[in-house]
Amino acid sequence: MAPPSDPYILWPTKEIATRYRRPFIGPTTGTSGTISWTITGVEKTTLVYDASLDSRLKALEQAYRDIEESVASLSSHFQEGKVTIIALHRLINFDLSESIDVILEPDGDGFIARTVDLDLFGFGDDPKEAVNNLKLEIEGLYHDLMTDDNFSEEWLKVKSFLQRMIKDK
Amino acid sequence: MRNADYHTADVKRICENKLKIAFRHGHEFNGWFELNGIKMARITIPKGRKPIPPKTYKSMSMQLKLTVEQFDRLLECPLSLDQYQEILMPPTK
Repeated sequence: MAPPSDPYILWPTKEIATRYRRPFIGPTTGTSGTISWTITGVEKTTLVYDASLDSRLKALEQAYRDIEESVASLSSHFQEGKVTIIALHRLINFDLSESIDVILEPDGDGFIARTVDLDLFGFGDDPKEAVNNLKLEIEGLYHDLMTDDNFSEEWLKVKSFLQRMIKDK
Repeated sequence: MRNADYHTADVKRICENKLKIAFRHGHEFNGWFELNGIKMARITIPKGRKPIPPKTYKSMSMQLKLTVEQFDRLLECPLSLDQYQEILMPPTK
């Protein structure tokens, strides 16, 4: 019998089942075996162990720990006043077909994020704010360029560039 | 570089008076400089910063297609042509 597809009734590990006390729709059974739990305040039900979901969750947890370590190392990197080049893969309201390189560095009492390909920058009190403001700048420029064609040759090339790069989410 | 002499509001005012740039009010101020009806340069001015951080100051000058020294000279003299003409020939009441 195939495992049921409803995510609310699939809990891969006991730890997650007790941490997220969701109401369950059950009972369910499966070929992988059954585990019964009693969760305080929530109805008792039968859970199905899904090994593939468990391995995916473990991979996500590891990716989360990797991101935490990267953020920690970036924080010390910026405290030392170093320049960092990051790749921007998406904006706030749009996705990008290719990544845009961004130079991120301390500037005065804040941080500046500048694009390598365009004369745009975002300033912020912290790196995240600077990058967020840069994303707003790119989107703002895109909207400006799409209004008409009364721009210099240089800006019309930028318009073509952004039209290729920017995709709706 | 005279970034320490100016507030971002000063830069905005000078760009409005001298370069006739009309700024859009968003998260930051954005405006286009037009020459003969063609938009040539776009400047972004962050809100509420003094002194202006050095790399931000340089980025603003690059957006106007100026060197830092040329940007300094642009900002040094905020008097617009119209204001100068009014000084020379005050309007009659």
